[in-house]
Amino acid sequence: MKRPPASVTERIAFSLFRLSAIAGTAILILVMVLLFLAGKDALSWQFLTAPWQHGDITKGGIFPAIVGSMYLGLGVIFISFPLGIGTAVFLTEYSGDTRWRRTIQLAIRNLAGVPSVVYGLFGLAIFVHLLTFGMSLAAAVLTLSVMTLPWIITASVEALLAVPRAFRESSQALGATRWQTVSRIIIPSALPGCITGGIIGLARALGETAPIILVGATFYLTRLPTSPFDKYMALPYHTFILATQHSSPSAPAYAAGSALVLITLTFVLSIGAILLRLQFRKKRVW
Amino acid sequence: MTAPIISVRSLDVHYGSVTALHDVSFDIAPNEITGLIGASGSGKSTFLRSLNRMLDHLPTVRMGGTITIGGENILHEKTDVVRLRRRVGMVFQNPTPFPKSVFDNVAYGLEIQGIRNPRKSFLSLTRLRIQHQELEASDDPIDQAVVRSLKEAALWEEVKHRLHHSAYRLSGGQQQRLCIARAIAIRPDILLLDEPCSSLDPLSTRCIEQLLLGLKKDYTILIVTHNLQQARRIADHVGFFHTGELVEFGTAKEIFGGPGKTLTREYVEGAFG
Repeated sequence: MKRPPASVTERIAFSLFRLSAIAGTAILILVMVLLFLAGKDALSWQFLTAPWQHGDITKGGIFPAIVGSMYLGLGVIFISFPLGIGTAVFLTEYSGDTRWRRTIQLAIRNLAGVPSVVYGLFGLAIFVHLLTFGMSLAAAVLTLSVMTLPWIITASVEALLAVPRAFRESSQALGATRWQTVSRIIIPSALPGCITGGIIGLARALGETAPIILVGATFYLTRLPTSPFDKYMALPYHTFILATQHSSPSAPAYAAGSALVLITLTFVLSIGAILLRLQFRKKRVW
Repeated sequence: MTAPIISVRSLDVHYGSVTALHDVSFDIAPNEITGLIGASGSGKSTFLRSLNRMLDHLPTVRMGGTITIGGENILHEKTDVVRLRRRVGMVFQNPTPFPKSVFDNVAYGLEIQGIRNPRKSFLSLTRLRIQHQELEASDDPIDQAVVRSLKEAALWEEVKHRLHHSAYRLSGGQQQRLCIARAIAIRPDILLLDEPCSSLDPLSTRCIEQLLLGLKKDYTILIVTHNLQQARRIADHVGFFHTGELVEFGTAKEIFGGPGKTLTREYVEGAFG
């Protein structure tokens, strides 16, 4: 059989690539549109700002869940981002023996694939019971931070390794110590990549339901958490209960509305990081 | 010959089981340009990097013999490498500016000595616009060092209106002169250049050669080059390396006029290389 001419093969291949790109984007848009249609009736100022009413959910809003998720997101950023970059810097710049480093890196990559409910159990055992934080915001933040660490470490290690060797040599040849080179040249150059890892980790932490159920997420609270050791409400868990457990006829719309708010909140928290990354990237041309 | 600024005696360098330099001994006079020539892998770059201990970062390297700079054996294990590198600056083969502004690139060597950069913005997130007149009149040590270094590196006139721009917006030749400015901003005694013109066009190369001839009144310059014409044009003394040994060392006139050794003659006449 004669092979079709190269130009035909190319056209078929490119059509297939285009098709997969369109399919990927279309599914995403479809999800957003359906979610919006299902939840648009629930969305109102009261929905966003009023406390939760258990009896008649149409009288209340999801404000406590928004606040709870915001605390979780910010907590995770402040704990796991510095910790993750610190670990990555140690692995790439200070742990000389490369076989040792590769073993640890492999372990960290595998940790990224561990199901989130396992992290929930870990958090329950360590933070809730062993460290006696109880079912609390603090335990949840730490659990989610541990869960997102592998992502941030892996992304940061890649970013640090991508910094050209010439930068290190030039800095050292000018009489910089290793720490000066790391802190003034290498980390600033790698930061956009590290932030990308942070954004992915944050988005995942905000959306998690399973681990936070185990460490203190609550469906109904009469007041906002005032200390890190209080219980809290959170959007993903709230969505889950509304969608599956609640008998009110407006529950499905409220579930979709909560999911929309969750996506928006994730986006808002990410956008800060994205803007910061843009600012750092502007200067990074090599 | 005036008292040497660098004295090398029986220098051996091994990478694992490979001998990169064997029994190299010679003296380098201050305020001269010394050209180091030889084929690829002859050990000239290794020699250059042993002078500021840049080989330390390679895990398998072993060094023997002595290199005396300013009366001190810098191969001694107690040598303060950071202090040594402030006295022995280096410029690499490809221009290696940092992803910072032109100003911050030159200021970097002083900043790491603990001198405060007056033009630093919060977290370096924004670039401050720097007026060159203001800078020339300033009495801040970093401002003065930046202006002086850029002028010495013959770059000032070309960049004085865009000191706050990223260094990557300069041309290749300008970037290499920026790297020279960065190296001399901390006033080293010795400047090492590792094939600094190999990625540059003839005009930029000429510019750097002129610059080096001007700099030798203040600095002792060692330059590794594959370009024999370049060594002939600018070097006072020339060392010819071959397979890890210093075959011949003499004035440029001796080496290019009528070298004593057959190997040297063959190399400078282009029989191999």
